[in-house]
Amino acid sequence: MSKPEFVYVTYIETSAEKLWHALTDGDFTERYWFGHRVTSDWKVGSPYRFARQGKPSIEGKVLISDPPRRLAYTWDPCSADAKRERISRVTFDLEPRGKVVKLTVTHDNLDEGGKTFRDISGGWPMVIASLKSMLETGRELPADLSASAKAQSHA
Amino acid sequence: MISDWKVGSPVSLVINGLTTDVGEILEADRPRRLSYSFHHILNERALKERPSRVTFVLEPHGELVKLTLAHEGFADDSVVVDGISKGWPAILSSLKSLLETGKPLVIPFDALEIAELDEVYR
Repeated sequence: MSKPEFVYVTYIETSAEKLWHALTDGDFTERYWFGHRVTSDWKVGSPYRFARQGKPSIEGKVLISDPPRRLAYTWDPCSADAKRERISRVTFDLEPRGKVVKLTVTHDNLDEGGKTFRDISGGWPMVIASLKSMLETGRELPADLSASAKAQSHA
Repeated sequence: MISDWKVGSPVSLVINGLTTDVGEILEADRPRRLSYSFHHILNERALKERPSRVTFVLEPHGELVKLTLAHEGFADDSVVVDGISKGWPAILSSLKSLLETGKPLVIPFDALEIAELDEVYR
């Protein structure tokens, strides 16, 4: 039985350095990651944490840090439901292709049929779409998109 | 893409004057849902496969649209899945950039690493 994984590929008109910075800087993530601000020193083995309005949302450990090519960390959501599931892993691969960067997000080691898999399957497309809009147009997607999308999916 | 987009009408994908894929419009519920069959015709093995199915679902969210693309119906040993899987992210990324910035992306075709397309773009 193979565990499910979620892979999302997008192309963004930016440099790998700018994209790496957007993925790892709290001022940026707070904008495109729907209010979730990331902090870490991004050294392998160091912790990282996302927090929204001061409240921790996702935490984990840095597994790979090879700027600006590859970043990977464990993914451990701070909710009680998620704590019952296995800790998953996210890998970002940044490949320059002329004027664009090919970004591949791979989220694996997920529990089959679990809440985390469901949540991130909806979450990554939103976050990456917002990241791409921010880097290409200067404007991220509206802050209430995340809440309205959740409301729709629970309807 | 060439079609009149009516259910039952043919659709074809033409690149540099060469028709690479053909199909039939299955659903056309503008502006919510579009679906067509998809058959790659440039390659003998691909021609022998049954057509696959492309479905676009468009859901407004305020000033945004959530676009969901599903491309399904491939046999386990399909020779086109690799190219399809590499092509769509590039096309959708470029579409988003075109709609949001006014300019499509410039993605070098060899960057997609789809062996088959070399003949088409040479």
